[in-house]
Formats: sequence, structure tokens, C-alpha cells
Amino acid sequence: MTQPDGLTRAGFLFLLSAIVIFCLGPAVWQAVTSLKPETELIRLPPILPSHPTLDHYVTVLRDRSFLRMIVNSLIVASAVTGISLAVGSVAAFALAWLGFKGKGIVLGIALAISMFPPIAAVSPLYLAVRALGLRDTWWVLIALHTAFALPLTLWILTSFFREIPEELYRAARLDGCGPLQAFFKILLPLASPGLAAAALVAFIFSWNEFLFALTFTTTESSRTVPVGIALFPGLHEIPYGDIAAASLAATSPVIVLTLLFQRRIVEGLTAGATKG
Amino acid sequence: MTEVRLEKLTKRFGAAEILKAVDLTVHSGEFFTVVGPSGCGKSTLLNLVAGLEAPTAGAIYFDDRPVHLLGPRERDVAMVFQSYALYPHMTVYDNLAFPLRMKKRSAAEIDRKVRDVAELLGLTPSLPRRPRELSGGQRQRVALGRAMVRQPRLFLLDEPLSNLDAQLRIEMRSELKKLHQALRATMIYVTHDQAEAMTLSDRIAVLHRGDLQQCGKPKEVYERPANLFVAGFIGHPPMNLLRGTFRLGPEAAVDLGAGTRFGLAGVLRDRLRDFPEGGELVLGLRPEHLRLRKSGKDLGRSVRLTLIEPMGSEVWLELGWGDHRLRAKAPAEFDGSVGQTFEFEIDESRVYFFNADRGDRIS
Ligand SMILES: Nc1ncnc2c1ncn2[C@@H]1O[C@H](COP(=O)(O)OP(=O)(O)OP(=O)(O)O)[C@@H](O)[C@H]1O
Ligand SMILES: [Mg+2]
Repeated sequence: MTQPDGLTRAGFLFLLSAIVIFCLGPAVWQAVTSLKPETELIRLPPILPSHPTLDHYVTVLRDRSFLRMIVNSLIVASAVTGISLAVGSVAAFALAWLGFKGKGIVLGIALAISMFPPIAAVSPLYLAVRALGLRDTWWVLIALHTAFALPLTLWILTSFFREIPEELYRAARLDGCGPLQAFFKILLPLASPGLAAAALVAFIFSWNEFLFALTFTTTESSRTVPVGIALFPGLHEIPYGDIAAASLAATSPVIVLTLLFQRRIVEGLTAGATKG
Repeated sequence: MTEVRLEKLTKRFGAAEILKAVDLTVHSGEFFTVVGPSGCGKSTLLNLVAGLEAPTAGAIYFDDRPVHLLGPRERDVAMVFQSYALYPHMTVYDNLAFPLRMKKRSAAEIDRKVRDVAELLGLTPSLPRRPRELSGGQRQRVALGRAMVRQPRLFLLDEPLSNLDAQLRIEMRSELKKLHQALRATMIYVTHDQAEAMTLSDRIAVLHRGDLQQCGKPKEVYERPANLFVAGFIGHPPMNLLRGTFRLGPEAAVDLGAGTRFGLAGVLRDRLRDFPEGGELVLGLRPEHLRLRKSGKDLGRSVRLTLIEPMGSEVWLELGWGDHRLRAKAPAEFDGSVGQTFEFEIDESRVYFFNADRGDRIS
């Protein structure tokens, strides 16, 4: 590889900072807002708070219904992640390793499902869910989110499994593993970056999902955070500070999760398996 | 110690026939090598013996017991893979212990065996390390050790030396041979390197496009190649193969075209007595059997030196003989320069004839 010259590097840095500012800007703005006292919120020009305060956080975190929504979201997203990984990894193993006919078709259908616009499915689903009496439960959200997250995890995991040299699986079989043992003892640990990536995708999808959550939850017993925050605005005023604090509080689990998994995803685990 | 017998072993992937009714017996305790060019089906053959693939037709016997319907676990064979296939998420110790753990051996026994094998292969200092921290040679040893540790009835080795550098390769080659002598286990070794095959093996089998060409002791295969393919494959540099027409006339000869003739006196002519006049044949001359003389009586074998390649202990020569090109080997002291003319000589017993159409050796 050749060293990039100064100009290329400067251009690259400029582009990088532009992207970072574009992406992080709203979040930073939100953070600033969440620290402003009520009186400074609508002051113009909008500058940094002169008396930063944690009042909004206290309000939001004292609010039992907000905490309840966080719990709902955590339960739904964790269940979706767990089911997607458990089912997705076994299915991906079969698709990537147990060469059977029609795997291209299966993956194609999976992709089609994950691309399907949810809005088109909402009305028939609403009728079905009402008929089943599942409205306003965790179950309906878990089921629907899984339907969309599972194809994604299947794709991610299949491509990770394919990266694992086939001879490792064969070696495990010769060393006395049955197919499932080879899967659990050798392939699954080696696919752990893929598992981490898939878990993150599934969790974030479910955590952020709005349309189904709005349609199928009616009370705070099953309402998730995105819907809850959207319903914050009262009749006469919009509590910008509280919304900002709640948004940040709701984002933090995802950030923590990402930081936890990030190293897993980045590090290549199969190094050293082969001569290369 | 296991005898392995393959009967009409056939493997197809879709329409492609990768192995064509291979019949082969590997004797108990033998170091047996399957050699052939890339893609000829060597790995496929090993996978079938190991039970990693199912044969399309034919049978595999271990000591007269049919095993081709058994899974890999029941066959109790160990394999060293072309790519080593070490478990990257485990330490060397765990890699070596893995087959024993799968057999549910006691921790004490596992520990003892792992340390024994590590000691034997010089891996003791590497035990706590991961494969990615090892050199190529060490990885190769771990792969060998993982195969040895559970004392399988049969070892399968798929080009285990192919990615090592030349020096390490020769070193590991002799270590493998010593290992075989120590273990006295049946080993089936696969390589496309004929030098490896010749030096290591009790017997070799030459495979070409899924067809077994010849099977025998290395010396036999070298001295009596069954056909053109084997003749061209075994030997380094390869045998000179020249196509010509058999002529009787007043002086019997192989007419190589453009006025070049290879005269057939006495014994040579006798060997071709059943061959029809005018028939096409291929003349085979090994480079190492050609001797060059500066001058002498012209037997129609004068060649022009066109290239000299010093190889250290010897020199390789390229010679023009009429329209043909010959390779020859000479001692390092060889004294000659490009453009000079020589006469070449060869012992009659070292001249090969092959049927030009079918490729089989004549007499
Ligand atoms: N699973 C498979 N499906 C289809 N074709 C295959 C499969 N495995 C092997 N082949 C084909 O079979 C042929 C022989 O393959 P094999 O790996 O046995 O060759 P080899 O002699 O080991 O070659 P090399 O020296 O390159 O390792 C190749 O042409 C390969 O493309
Ligand atoms: Mg191979």
C-alpha cells in the first residue's frame, strides 16, 4: 500500500469530520437541551446553558411510567435478540454448512421479508392480533419484531459462518464431534463476532421500532420507549427538556451494548487456523 | 495398524466424475502416498476414506470390515488437513486435548498424553499459546500432534508440507518419516510433489483425473512407468517424450521427423518386434540418463547445447535435437558452452517406448 499524500489525507479528514458532525450533531443538541433549565429552553439565540441542571433527568427517572416503558423495551428487545440468535444461528449453520438444495431461495425469501414495508402489513396484522386477543402484550411485539429481525440475523450469521474454513468443521467431525457438537464447540465460538453483530442489529431494531409498538400497545403495561417519548407532549405544552433527557436515557442501553460488543465484532477470530 | 482396501471407489459431484472406480490396497503399517497433479481427486479420496464424504459407488474396507457407511467418528481415523485446520480459539494444549476430551478420557490421562505428544514434537513451550502466535512449522506440528494424540488406527495426511518453505519442508519430511517408523501406523499421505512421494513412501499410487494410473514401490514406478502420464509426472525434470514413427528398413529407427532419427540396434529393435511398421510411438529418455560426449562417431544423435542452468550440485541442460528439445542433467563440473555440439548416449535398458495412442508402455 502506498502512503496517502497530505492533500488526500486532509480531504479524508474533512470528509470524516463532516460525517461525524452530521451524525452526532442532533445527539449533542439533545444532550445540551437536556441540561438546560426550563427558563433557558426557548431563549434565542440557543447557546450553551448558563446554569446546567439535572432536573429533567430527575423528573424523567422518577416517573414510574417511564421506568415501566424502559423495562418493557428491555424485555421485548432482549427476547427478540435471544430468539433471533438462537433460531438464526442454527438456521444459518444449516444454510452455510449442511449444503442442501434451495438455500439460495431461503436466503432470498429472508431478505424479501426483512425488506417488506411494515406499514403495508399493519392493518391485516391489527385485525389478526385483535382476534387473537394479543393487543397490548409483550408477546405481539416480540413476535412481530422477531419476524423482521430474524431474517437480518440469518443473513449476517450465514455470511459469518461461510467465512469459517470448512476444514475446521471437518477436523471437528474427525476429532469425534457429531454435527451439532461441531457446531457448538467450534463454529459458534468462531462466529462470535457475527453473533455480536447480529445481536446488536436485532436489539437496536427492536429498541427503536415505532410503528408496530404504536399500533399494538395501548397502555403503559406494554408500551415501549419510542412510543412513550412520542406521547410525552401534553395538551398545552411540549416538555422539550424532559423529552431530551428521556431520549438520552433511552439511548444509553444501546450505547453500552455497542461498546461492549464492538471489540468482539472487530477482532478477527479465525486468524491462525490455517497456513495463510 | 489397519489394512485399507478400496473397491471400485467412485465419487461424482453432479455430472463431474472426480474418482473413477479406484481399486487400491494399503497394507497395514505402510506409508502409502497418493500423488497426482492439482485437482486430480486426492483430497476427495482422503475425505472418502475419512468418512467426510459419502462415495457415489464402491466400497471401503478397514481390515476386511466395510466402513463406507460409517460416520467419521466410528472410523477412528485422524487427518492432518491441507490447511492444518487448527482451532483458532483454543490454545495449543486445548487443540491437542480436544480429540481426547471428545472421547471423554479422564483429565489425568488427557494431560499425560498431551504432554507426551508435545514433548515428542517439541511443542512444550508453545502449549499455552494460540495458533495465531505460532510459526508455520509449529502449526504443522500441532496439526500432526492433534492427529497422533488419540492413537487412531489410520492417519490421513493431506499435503501437510505444502505451504512450508523449502528448508523446513525437507526437515519436516524426515521428521515425518521418523515418526512413521516410531508409530508403525498405517499412513496415507497425499501430495502433488513427486519428490516428497518418492522419498517418504513404501509405495505410491499415481492418480490422474480421478483415474488410478499406477501403484507400486517408488523405484518401480520410476523405473517402469506404466504409461505416458506417469513417465511425465515422476522424475524431475520430467522425462523427455518424443513422438515419432517406427521404421524398419535397412536400419530400424524411430523417425522423429525433419530428418531426426533414433537408431534402434539389437536389443532395442527386439523390444519393438511386435510393434507394427509405420506405427506411432513415443520415445522416452530421462534427463539423468543422457550422457554427453564432445565428439565421436555420428550416430545421428548430435545435439546443440542451447541453455545451461546451474542447480548447485548439478547442471540442467537444454539441447536442440533436430526440431526437438531435450533436457539433460550433468554433474556440476560439466564443461561446455551454449552453441557447442555434442553426441548423446544412453543405455539401451533406459530407453522407454510408449504407445502413442493409448499411452501405455511397450514391453
Ligand atoms: N464439494 C465439491 N463439489 C464439487 N466439486 C468438487 C467438490 N470438492 C471437490 N470438487 C472438485 O473435485 C476435483 C478434485 O478435487 P480435490 O480437492 O480432490 O483435488 P486435489 O487432488 O486434492 O487437488 P489439490 O492438489 O489442489 O488439493 C476438483 O476439480 C474440484 O473442483
Ligand atoms: Mg487437495
